[in-house]
Amino acid sequence: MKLSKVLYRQHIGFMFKKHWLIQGKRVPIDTGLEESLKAKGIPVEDALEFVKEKQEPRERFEIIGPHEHIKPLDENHPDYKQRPCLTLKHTSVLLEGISQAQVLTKTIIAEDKLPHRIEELAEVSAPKAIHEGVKKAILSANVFDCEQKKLPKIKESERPAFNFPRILGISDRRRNEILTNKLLQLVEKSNDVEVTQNKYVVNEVECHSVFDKEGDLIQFQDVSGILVTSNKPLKHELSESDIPFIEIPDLYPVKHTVTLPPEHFYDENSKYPLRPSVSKKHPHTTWLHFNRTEVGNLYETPVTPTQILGRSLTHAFTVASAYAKQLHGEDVKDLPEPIHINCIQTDGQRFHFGVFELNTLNVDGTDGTKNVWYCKNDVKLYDSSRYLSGMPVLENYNPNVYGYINAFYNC
Amino acid sequence: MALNRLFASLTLSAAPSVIGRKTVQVTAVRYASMPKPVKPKPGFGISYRRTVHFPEEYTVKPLEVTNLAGRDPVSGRLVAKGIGGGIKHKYHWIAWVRDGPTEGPPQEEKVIQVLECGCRTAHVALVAVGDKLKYILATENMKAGDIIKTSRHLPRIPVRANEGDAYVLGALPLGTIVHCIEKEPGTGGLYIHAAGTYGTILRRQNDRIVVQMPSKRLFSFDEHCMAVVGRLSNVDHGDTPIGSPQRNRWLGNRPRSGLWKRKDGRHGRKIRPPKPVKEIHARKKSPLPAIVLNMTP
Repeated sequence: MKLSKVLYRQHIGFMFKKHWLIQGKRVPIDTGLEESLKAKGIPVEDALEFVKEKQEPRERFEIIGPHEHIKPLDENHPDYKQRPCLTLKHTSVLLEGISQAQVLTKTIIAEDKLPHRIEELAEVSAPKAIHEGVKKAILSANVFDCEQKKLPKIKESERPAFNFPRILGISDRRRNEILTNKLLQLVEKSNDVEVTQNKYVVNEVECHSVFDKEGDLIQFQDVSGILVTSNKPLKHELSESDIPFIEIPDLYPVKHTVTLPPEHFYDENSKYPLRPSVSKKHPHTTWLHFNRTEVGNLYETPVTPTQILGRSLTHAFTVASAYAKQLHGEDVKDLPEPIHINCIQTDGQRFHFGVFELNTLNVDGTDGTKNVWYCKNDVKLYDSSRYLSGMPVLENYNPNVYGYINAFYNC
Repeated sequence: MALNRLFASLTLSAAPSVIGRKTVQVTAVRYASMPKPVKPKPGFGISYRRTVHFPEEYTVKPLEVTNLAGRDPVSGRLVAKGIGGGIKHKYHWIAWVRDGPTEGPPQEEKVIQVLECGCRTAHVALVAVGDKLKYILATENMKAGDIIKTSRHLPRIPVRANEGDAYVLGALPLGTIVHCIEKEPGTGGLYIHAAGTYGTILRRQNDRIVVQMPSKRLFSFDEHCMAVVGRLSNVDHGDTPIGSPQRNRWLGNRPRSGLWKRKDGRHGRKIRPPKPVKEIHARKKSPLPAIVLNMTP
């Protein structure tokens, strides 16, 4: 059957049924009258709006209900502060990593060099039993723990749509906590009573440090995985003569405050976790955990190694400056005596050791007294620790790491 | 018939019940003359692939997206066939307006990283200037650590521009390769965003610049419109075939069907005279909103 004859037939009734829909939408022709009247100053009002009854403004009652309303966090909140404070939190990292941390804290870096005493103590080899203990600690953190949590999804770039089976296992926060606590326990066991009785070991403490740099109020909020404190301040003899320092870099065109989001609700006083009345309040070593699931960039790309190293520098600065402000007051600028702090950052496999010397809290510009950061980065403790064909396996254990940890505890 | 439907829901009762006159009128009107919801036609610059949930302030955090699968968000009806499924990608909010100083030296910005964006064919560069981070479309040879310049200054002598710099069209010499051209000065780059594409500045007519688009059509722009110099990244995108029907599904394209004759109808080759140069002007008056006459009281 030829369709064209049927298709070309028109039923006028169809047009009548649909025509009102089309005629119901009329676009008025713009004669320009409204604009010319407005130009002469004559007010023009829509007729339908004019005809509507105007509502009288009624009195608002503040009804006190069963619960107090939660006030929204905007300018009208009583705790709102006009001056924004740029905050670096435990879960965020700096954009330029260690270079930006250098500029923010006015620090010069001695790459791959730790104080002599630590290097000497690290070379002392520990007995075999201790290394066996360390291997047991690694296995118990990675393999033998019974936590079953959903680990992050595995994605392959060549097969982006494929959903791999979800793996349950030990979360990285728990793995780091177990490993660091067991390592510290081993170190304490192998040392004399006189050394251990002078030290406190505190877990999961927060330090806040608020300071001013070139007109911006900056706040570092950090959480120590483990903070080891002692009854006398830490002292390092450091010979600065022949060390090639990495000077404070110029970050142009990026400003040093990038990736520090401004916040209007903050506390202007720095916080140090231990009260001044405690006898063992002087910070000795701080252990920082790097948990890949918790710490990340705002733009959701993986954290780079420079960003991880910058994080340990800012953490050491936070603890040292919070302690300095508790000792000398909030507004101290140049310290009478330098404050030293040891810092160890780990993500379970890689260890970054550092010693921070705080000389001044006046971080404006690049002249004057500067703080110093001695570091030894990226020391691997082991290559892999997992179940391999049913058997728990630890590959390529590195005994040097324990030497450094012991040296850091004993100095 | 409408009254039947109206009275079907009512029941007889001993006590007289009052039905307001207005209620009857309203219900009768609704049943008798309900117009069908209007479904838009596909095209006209609107894409029915995804809705991005934009926050109020510009942010570098990848934004959440809901896929539309060819549906119109207002009426819910299928408008564009062949869209649906595929891997869901987060949207990187690109700052289309490349603003710079009107006088003095150009503003310098640093490229931090070049990433792939699942919502477009070109790559996206994360750029930092001062204490702000933003995304822009990456050019062919852009890499981390590059410094790019932006300026709205219109000098007497054309500027020697490098790839990735953004200048006004009047400042660039003839023959420059550009992309991301603004329609009206200050509104943000609208033209030429696809991977590997570029426009060429051909000639100058008084205060208008004639640019050849990737489709070989000629457009004439105001000389104060910003354009970014260079060719867009991911140049091999146009040359790589999709490869398999499954990969097309991952891209969010549903299977197409229909008799296709290579030389006929819309698939055949057309030889036409070239269209005249289209002048792109700022829109001075927007049309008045349509008055909808409906039968609801």
